[in-house]
Amino acid sequence: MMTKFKGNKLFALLVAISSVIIIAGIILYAVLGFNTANDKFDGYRVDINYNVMIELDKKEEALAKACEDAFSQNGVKFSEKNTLSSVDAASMNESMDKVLTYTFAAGTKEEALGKAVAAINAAVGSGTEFADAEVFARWHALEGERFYDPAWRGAIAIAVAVVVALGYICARYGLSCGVAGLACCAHDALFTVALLAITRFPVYAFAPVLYAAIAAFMSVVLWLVLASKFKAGFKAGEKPGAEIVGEAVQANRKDLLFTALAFGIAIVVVGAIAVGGTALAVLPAILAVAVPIYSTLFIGPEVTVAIRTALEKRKEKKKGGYVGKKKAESRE
Amino acid sequence: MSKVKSAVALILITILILGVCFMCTVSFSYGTDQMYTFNSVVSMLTKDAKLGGELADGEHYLGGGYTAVYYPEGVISAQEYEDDLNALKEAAANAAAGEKEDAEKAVSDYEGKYMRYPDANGPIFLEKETACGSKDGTEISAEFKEDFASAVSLFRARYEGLHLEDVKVQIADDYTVQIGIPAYTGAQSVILTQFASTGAFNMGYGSDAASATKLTVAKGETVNDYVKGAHATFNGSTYFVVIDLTDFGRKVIADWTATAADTAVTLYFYVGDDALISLSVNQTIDLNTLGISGNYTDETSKVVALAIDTALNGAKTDLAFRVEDVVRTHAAMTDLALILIYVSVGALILGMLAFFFVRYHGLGLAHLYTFLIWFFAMILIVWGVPQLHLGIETLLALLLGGTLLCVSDMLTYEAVRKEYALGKTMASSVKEGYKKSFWRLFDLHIAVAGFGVLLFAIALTELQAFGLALCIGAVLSGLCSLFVSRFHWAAFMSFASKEGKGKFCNFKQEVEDDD
Repeated sequence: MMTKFKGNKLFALLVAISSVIIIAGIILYAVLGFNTANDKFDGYRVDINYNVMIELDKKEEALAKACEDAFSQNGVKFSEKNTLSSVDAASMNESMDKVLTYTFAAGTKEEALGKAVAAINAAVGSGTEFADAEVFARWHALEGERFYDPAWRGAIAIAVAVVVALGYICARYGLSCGVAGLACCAHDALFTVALLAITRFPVYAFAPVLYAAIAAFMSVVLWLVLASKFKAGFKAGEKPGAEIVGEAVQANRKDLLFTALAFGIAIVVVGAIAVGGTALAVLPAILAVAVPIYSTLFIGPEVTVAIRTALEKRKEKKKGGYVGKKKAESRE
Repeated sequence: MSKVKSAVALILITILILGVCFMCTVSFSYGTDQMYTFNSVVSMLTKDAKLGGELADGEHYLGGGYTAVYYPEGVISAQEYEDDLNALKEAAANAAAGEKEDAEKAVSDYEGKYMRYPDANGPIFLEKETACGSKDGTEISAEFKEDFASAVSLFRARYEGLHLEDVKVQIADDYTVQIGIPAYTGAQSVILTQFASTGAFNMGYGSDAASATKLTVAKGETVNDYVKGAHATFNGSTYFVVIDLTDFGRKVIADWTATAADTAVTLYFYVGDDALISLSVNQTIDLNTLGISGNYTDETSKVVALAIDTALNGAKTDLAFRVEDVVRTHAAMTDLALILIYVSVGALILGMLAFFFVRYHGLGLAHLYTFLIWFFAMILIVWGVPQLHLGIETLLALLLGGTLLCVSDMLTYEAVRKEYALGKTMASSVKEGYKKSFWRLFDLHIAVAGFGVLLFAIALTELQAFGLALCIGAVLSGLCSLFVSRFHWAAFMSFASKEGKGKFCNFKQEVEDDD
């Protein structure tokens, strides 16, 4: 069955939508950056230091209760609680002294936190059941310093890796496939991070560049699954490019969707079972799988056909151009 | 492949897979009173600061990290203030009659020396003279603020320059700096202490660091006219800190070491008052680059070089810092995260097997064996390659690599299914199917491996580890899907009867109607 690639009537609209999202994402990133709340760069923490007596007397729960009562009385709510070991800075050996830590969100009122800490110190000081344990509570305001090296080096790495991978595709499957693949990769990487910037989805600081790399990886994989089917047709040169692309897209749609689905399922299953921080880090990668399937089915083939058609026209023009009397006579 | 050969090969492969599976996943204690512990490879994988878990002995913890606080001179914690004050008060209370007045004055002096920051319940105390510029000051001076800001940018440059994952620099309570470093680095103490050194770079020579004769910088010159910078390098397993000298610097060092052949000299390289390097010399040094080895490791050489280089070329501050409040932190995502990750990977493998066995029946075994070889090989690689450790990026790379193998196997099986449907024999279909899929899969894996290797070469931290794991995963996936899987297919297929081969793989031939 002959299946000519009919072209997507909405191609211009899709390109416009992608452009708007990418530009909006870049602007929002420049103004606000990504929402890196997962890293807990900024916020508050209350440390309650105590010695081994608390453990020996089995008073951990009582101490925690005293602290948590003080927090609730002062209207502050913690998001995380940990018991950590103090360490000797020279030997890095853990000591018997412990630190009970409570983490608070960035918007917590300092005054209330200060009062809560004063209440804890009053409740655990001399004359109380914790007197032997040298309990002392402090609150800390934390403001994180951001590192930018990994982000820009990562962006360069992705750009170089994509160009080299697509250079390979160019060499193996022709210029039109290579350029279309490059367009898909660039689109997918930028679109994915733009969506993260626009939605303000909480991510780890290292993650956007990782999702961009996954989007580029998926783009390369899906484009190769499709483009490998163009090769024989392009090489034979018997059919116009639009027809070859049309047939390949129709014949491989199932393979492409299955491939994307397999990667998507892997990410969703891990995100769904390994809840909490892991899910927050893994689940946004689903965007990096979804965006490339969209570009491979709707943008890549259109670009390939456009380039292929232009190349065919150029070839035809060359054939029809002035070649000299002798050559023209021999052709006839 | 004959049945006997297949049986022998499959038994050997099964034993190998089971052995590696046991080694990778099972931890147990043994011996009298369970004195000894065998830790599985998975439990011994180095983990980043976000993940972590206890080893089977219940005493050692892998993963997580450390936090420490850099206190500038003139700043102490509220706890230290309380402890000091209580000690003075106790001394005053116990003082003899003649000494009581002095002891009470010491208490009031101490109370007057500090102010609590930022309010009456604040976590730190600032020494008025240092922070405010005078003993009676109440406002923090611009000079102190500027010095502290310079120190913060110096620390940021140093910790960012380490290019380690999960490193954090946070300003705590406005005038202290909290540092977070992962536990997988073996040089936490060196990192925390060497990077706390502030002040100008200098060098000197003599018999000990304190009394050494230091470089006298001529008027109108700076220390940068003598030393250009420092970097780390290695030769085999020896790591060096390299000091790049200018011609002036070279001459100075040559002068200092001119008599070293007769009397040994020690060269010292300082950041502030801390001698970060001491180099014993017994011959004249007349070189533009000094490669200094010692007991440096890859990490410690980088740390020392970075501390010196940033002191030379980074932000300048004379504010001295001390390291305190060092705490061991467990996995930022909690210990449960690691267990849930293992469970989710197990669920994925079960789901994958269900799909392959339902769609390809006995051929699912060939995929199972191939996948397990890839999976355990990847675990051993993550364990053995020093640049890799278990983190979210490695997990994602493993997921993508594993899925790539599944997709490759499925594409090949489908290509063979199509050939078989045309009425060819199974052997001919397999041959033709693999032939048709070979270049497609070859290109796919080469492109992905190239993509990964470039990420590893250019990117930093998490993306770098992701690139390396992806590259190795893609190479192994390519080998497994193109060769190992085909071998397994042939081995398992040999047990099926000639007529039952299609049924074994759940492949059907299209039967044309005679009419």
